[in-house]
Amino acid sequence: MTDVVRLSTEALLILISLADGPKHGYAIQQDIHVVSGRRLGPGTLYGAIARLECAGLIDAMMERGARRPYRLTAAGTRHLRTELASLKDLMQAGTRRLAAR
Amino acid sequence: MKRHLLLRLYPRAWRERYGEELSAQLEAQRPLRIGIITDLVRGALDAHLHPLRRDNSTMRSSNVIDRRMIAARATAAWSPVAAVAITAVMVLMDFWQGHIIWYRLVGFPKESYVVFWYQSFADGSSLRFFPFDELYDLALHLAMLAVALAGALIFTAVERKALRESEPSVS
Repeated sequence: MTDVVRLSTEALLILISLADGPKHGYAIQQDIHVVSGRRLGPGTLYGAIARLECAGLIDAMMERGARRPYRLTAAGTRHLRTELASLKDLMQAGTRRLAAR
Repeated sequence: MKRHLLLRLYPRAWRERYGEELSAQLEAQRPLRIGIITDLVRGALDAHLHPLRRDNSTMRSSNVIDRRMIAARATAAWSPVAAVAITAVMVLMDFWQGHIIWYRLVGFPKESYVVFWYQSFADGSSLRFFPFDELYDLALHLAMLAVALAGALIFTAVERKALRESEPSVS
């Protein structure tokens, strides 16, 4: 039931960050900063984590804890692939149009 | 600003689920800069507008439901406030429309007499009266204001209790 989920940029960045393995919130924040140059605020980060978890795209590996790692679910992995393929198509279309100018 | 005060801005269910992690994250990001505080306030507002759901609904469908819920909640929440505001304006209008008279100036309330709010007397004392028909209006408006205030307080208490009981435990 996650086919129609539309990801925000922050949610997409979190999925990308988790693509190479589980991370806790602070590690996700640092990783996103390294990968994209963006530093998500803690409110924005955990708002996006909450939505992704509710949508079943990520899940927590521990029941409780201050440093609870999150990982991609199977649905999250599929969704990330779809989103990245879509972005790739978009990028190619944009590049073609720019080249034609 | 203390971390726990900022975390209190979030719904209880949200705090139970993510509060510990968020607190640890804030601990790692000390001192709290204004940008982080703003981000947390915005996040708390978002958490209230989009309560945690652990079902199979998609983000899109839950957003539609959320919008309707927000509209319904806003209408319900602002109705008592509007009632209090309207009746308070009516009471203020009773004063500001010039129904106040000074007993010592006119001796007896006159319906059409318009006077100032304040006037000094030699001994500094003063008395305010409303003509009888205006007094009825004032009494009526004050009663309406009292009812509206009582309704708003009861509504707030009931809603707070309902919210406390309805917030799901996600531990």
